[in-house]
Amino acid sequence: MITRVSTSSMQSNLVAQIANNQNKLYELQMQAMTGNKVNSILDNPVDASKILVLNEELSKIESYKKNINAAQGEYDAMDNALNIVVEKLQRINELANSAANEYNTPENLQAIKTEVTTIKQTIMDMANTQYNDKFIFSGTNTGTPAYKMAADGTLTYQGTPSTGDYKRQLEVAEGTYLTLNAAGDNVFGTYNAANGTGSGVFKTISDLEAAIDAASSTDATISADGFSKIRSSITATHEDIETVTGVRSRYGTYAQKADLSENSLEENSILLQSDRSDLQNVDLFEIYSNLTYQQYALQASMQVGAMTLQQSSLLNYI
Amino acid sequence: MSILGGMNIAKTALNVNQFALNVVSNNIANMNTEGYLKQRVELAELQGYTPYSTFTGLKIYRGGGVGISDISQYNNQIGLDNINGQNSTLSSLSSELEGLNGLADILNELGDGALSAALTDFYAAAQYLTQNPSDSVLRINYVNAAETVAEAFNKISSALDDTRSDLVGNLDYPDSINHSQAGLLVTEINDTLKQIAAVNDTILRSPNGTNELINQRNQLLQDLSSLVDFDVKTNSNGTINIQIAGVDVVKGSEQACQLTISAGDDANPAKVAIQTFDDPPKVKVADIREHIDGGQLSGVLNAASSTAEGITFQKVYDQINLLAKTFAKSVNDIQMHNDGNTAAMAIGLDANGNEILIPSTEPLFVIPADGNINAANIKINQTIYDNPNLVAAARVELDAAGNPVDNKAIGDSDNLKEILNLQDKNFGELGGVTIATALNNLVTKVGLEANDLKARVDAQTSIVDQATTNYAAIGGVNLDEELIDMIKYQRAYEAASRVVTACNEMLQVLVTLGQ
Repeated sequence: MITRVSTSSMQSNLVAQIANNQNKLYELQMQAMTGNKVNSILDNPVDASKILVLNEELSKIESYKKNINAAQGEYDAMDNALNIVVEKLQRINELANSAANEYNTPENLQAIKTEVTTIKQTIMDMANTQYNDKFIFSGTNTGTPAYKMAADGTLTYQGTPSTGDYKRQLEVAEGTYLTLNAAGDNVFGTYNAANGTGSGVFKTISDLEAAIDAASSTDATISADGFSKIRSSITATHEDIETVTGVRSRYGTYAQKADLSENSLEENSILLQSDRSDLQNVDLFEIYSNLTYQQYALQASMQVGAMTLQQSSLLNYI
Repeated sequence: MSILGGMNIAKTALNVNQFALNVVSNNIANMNTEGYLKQRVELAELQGYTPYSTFTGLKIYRGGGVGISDISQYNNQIGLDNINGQNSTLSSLSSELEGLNGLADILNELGDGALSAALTDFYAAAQYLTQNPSDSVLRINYVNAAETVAEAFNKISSALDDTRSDLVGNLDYPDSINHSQAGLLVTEINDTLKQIAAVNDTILRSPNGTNELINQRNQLLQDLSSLVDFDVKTNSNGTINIQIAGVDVVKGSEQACQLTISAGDDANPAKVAIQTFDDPPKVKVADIREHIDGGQLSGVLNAASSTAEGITFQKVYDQINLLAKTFAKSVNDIQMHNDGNTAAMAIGLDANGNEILIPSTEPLFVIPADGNINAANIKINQTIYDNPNLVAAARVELDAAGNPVDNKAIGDSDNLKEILNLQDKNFGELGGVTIATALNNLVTKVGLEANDLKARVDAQTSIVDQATTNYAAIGGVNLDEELIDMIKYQRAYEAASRVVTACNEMLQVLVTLGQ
């Protein structure tokens, strides 16, 4: 038990008490001013570590969202291009139908052929669509136009082949990838003018051109053969329209998937942000009431101190 | 027996009380002096020699007045030893806490320019680049993000370097240890030991009036206790011996040994030895770090050592270096991947100026001559910085000749996928966790340990405060008590002077009788 208290230890105790209260007040002031209760790892190491993990998660989600936006843009560009291609193929189908009429004069047929050739050019332009500096139908050879047309009408596919792993993919969630590109050879096919071989849209259109030329021939046999080929190209265009529509709807599904992912990422991001805010941000009501309390505590310790120092001394009475 | 006898007695009272008032005055004057202990005048009755014979013939002696038997001081050596011991622990904890707070500031992961933020930004830039791998702006962005990571590592490393050389000097310049905290502490300890030996010597020479000297020595012991922990043994002649790490460094009036400091190795960069003053000196303890556990010296030596318990600067340094090495090596390995079947590809130009894939041979981070990348030397490869097309975004199959099957696949981002997988890859050398988790764990450990240490410092502070209050409760100056003493002696002085007056009046009566 302490029987006497030395004056200087009383005074140094007083100083320590006031300093202690000032420290607490300063801490609360810092929290109120920054709005954060965790400003450094020392404030609360466990919460700080959770905040760091949440920061990383949120940054990932932000990247995924950007990836989705980029994918959506490319899907839109692809959809627009394929939409036009389908419209043009329908026009080709109409043209083939009218060309199949054997009463067409050679002049009429040539006029139809001119429009078919123009459409072929348009479809090739669509196949060479660029989005964000990338040729989107070239597979991974994004720097090269998907198609090149030679003087003789040969259409060569320059992108990476649809067979083999040449996908361009974007990560849209942990380990989940969206495939961006449709390889052009699958959609548009190819055509070799030298031997008339090829596949897909371009072969159909090039065959139609040749058939129209044949049909306008003065040689009856050749002309009859030409008309028969025009008729068979009507079926071929139908098949091509189906192929292209199929590709279009497949990537439409991807785009929907991207939209869904975006929504769920958005929800996730809001949840994580609210978690982080719970950990990091202060409850202002709590802070203000603590601040007021701490101010009183400091005032009280100063008042008591002044009393002890000044008044409670024998000096005042002798 | 005479009237003058009473006056003589009153005279002793006047003298003694005046002297006692001087002591009170000295106590009041020193009430704020560090280490001062209240002095007390011990009064004693003086033996009288003039007998007074009673009617029975018995001689009785009255007292001869008052005298001073001693000026005592409550020198509570055990209490003082206790304070000094607790104070050593507190100093050691405080300097360790200071170190950890410094570490927490350096690893300020919640602030600007944090390493973890730089790492996530790097992966975000890689993710961004997958959207259009041939886009030069995105490539520049990726390279800059990698540079930011390198700079964040460099910043932490140089801050740790600075702190370490502040603690124990720079190993590359062994002399710098003398100007480091550890070096200055050793000098201060040696000075204090020398002074204590000198005070011991003075005490030996002046057996009387040693209170001031003991106060002075106690103060020196208290100073020493915050520098290093020690044991005290009091000798019969009033001097003390001081033992540090079990070795007598002060033996009475002689300083037997001194502390010397020299640069050590990476694990223990400062070695403090205890050796004699002989030529050549005899080394009593080669390295005292493990033999002391108190005082600033212990805190500083432990903070710089990698073998000490808990988180130390050196351990953080090692871990940060390991993180830098793991990160840079994994990124470089992917950047220059080539297993004969597939290979990482950068972008170059063909003869017509078109962009094509070329094999990637440049690392993203400079590989030093010895192959060891650490936090200090991690640096972006200037060649890639100048030509971001050399970033290997693509990974393609190789033909039999080792050339890419399709060198136009500049939109391929398979290699970046591998980089992105690093973000969630668990590394065996990091204890089976990702780089981000390892960093997070390190930071959390520093924070937790600092908080734990802060609690211990707070507890230890109140122990020292309590011990000091208890010690001062017995030995310290209480102003009220001194004021009461002052009045006490003042009154006694007044009363004694009244006795003189009374005797004087009696004498005058005698003189009148004689007329």
